[in-house]
Amino acid sequence: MSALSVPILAFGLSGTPSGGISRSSEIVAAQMLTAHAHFHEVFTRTSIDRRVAQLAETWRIERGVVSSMSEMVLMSPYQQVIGLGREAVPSILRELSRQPDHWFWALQVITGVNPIPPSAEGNLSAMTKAWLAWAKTEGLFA
Amino acid sequence: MSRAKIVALFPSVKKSLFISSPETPGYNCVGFAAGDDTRWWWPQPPNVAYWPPGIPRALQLSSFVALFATLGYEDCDGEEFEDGFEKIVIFADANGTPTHVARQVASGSWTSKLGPLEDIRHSLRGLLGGPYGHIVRFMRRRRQDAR
Repeated sequence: MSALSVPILAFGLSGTPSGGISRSSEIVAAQMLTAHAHFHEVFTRTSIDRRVAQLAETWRIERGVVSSMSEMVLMSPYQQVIGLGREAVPSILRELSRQPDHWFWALQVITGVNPIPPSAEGNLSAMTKAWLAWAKTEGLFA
Repeated sequence: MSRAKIVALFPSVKKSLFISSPETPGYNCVGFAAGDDTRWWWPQPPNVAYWPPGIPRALQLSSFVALFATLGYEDCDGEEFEDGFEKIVIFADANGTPTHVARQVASGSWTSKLGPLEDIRHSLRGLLGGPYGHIVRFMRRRRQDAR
């Protein structure tokens, strides 16, 4: 329990009116609990496009000279892109179109789809084309 | 990546370093060592990197050795240049997990693709003590033009 939560919980939010606690006080206490929860959440007003672009740039810097694809996709910025979920797929596709790079594992994990034919595995240009073609048929990318 | 940044990662490479290509994520060291600069070769994850059919998709030295064996390479003792042969060297981390492959060129020097960055020429010792760890295997085959 954090130091913040001690005085908040002292309001006695039991769900039923308690002696000496007004309705207004309960509302204030509930709002404080909400604020407390938000304090611990990762929160950003950055658009999802911008967020993906930022994470992509950080990933490119952090991977440096790494040759291991398995290591590259486990790096924090890459995992954060995956963590953005389905909402981020159009942004990832735009990033892929803008600057082709190895976003294929992220797209596969998020969508559950693999449009890359075996003959294209490992070929950046061919894998990019396969994903953008799939995205167009799905109406995710113009 | 600038020369200064490469040297920062591999301090021993400073004297021998020559950058021989622009950056590209289109291929990596394994493909480059195998003579393929069109694909990223790696056993994992599946579907997104090339790995020859029939070679175990395991991130283990034995898979890399099997891969280069299919290309005609066999184990050999060391880095010394041998006339009529070309060599590759496999690097691994402290757990023995492969991290990098470099190829010897006709001058006896070595060439590497640095992940998604540039190709470089370098002394073999120049890559030691950096992110690629240590040498775990040398392999050689007869030069294609010597057959």
